[in-house]
Amino acid sequence: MRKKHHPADDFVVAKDESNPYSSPNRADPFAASLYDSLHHLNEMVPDEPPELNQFTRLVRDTKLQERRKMHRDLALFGGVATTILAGWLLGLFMDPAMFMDFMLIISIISIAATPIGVYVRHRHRGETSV
Amino acid sequence: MTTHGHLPWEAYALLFVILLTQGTWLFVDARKHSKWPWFWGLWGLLQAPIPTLVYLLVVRKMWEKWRRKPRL
Repeated sequence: MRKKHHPADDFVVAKDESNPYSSPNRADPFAASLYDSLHHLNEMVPDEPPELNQFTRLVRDTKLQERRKMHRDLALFGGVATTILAGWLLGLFMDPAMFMDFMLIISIISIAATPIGVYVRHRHRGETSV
Repeated sequence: MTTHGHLPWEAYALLFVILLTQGTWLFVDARKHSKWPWFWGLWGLLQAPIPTLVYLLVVRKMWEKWRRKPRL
């Protein structure tokens, strides 16, 4: 197995050959601290790169999880949609004229609120010119 | 032809299909773009075609595409 690269290898100055992890200059506290930190960091990072299969598995699992969440949300939305549309059609069936008036009012409010929504949205982004 | 109230039953079925399709499409598309899917989906179930038009203008910003088209 290949020998792990050590930060001390980058030092030009001579080091203690008996201890490969010894600092080349323990007299300098900054250099010693830097050396120890680099050594600690070097120990933390694995030598071998992660396997490609690991990434493939991660992507596959994430996609599967998202698809499941999508199906769950769609099922929930389907239930809500059926309830709302049943009420909608029942209202239309019971009193069509009143229901149409109600829908007309909602349409007018929606159309009036749209430019306000666009303005607020772009003001938050710093774009006031629409 | 059987009628309920003032509308034939085919009209009710057509309304149901249109609103359900519109609401589901708005929900899925807004969810894909992370833009308030429940709001757009529920609004899409109430009326047609205003929610779709507003969604295309406000969220998908169709007007920006038209504006950016190069003049010939």
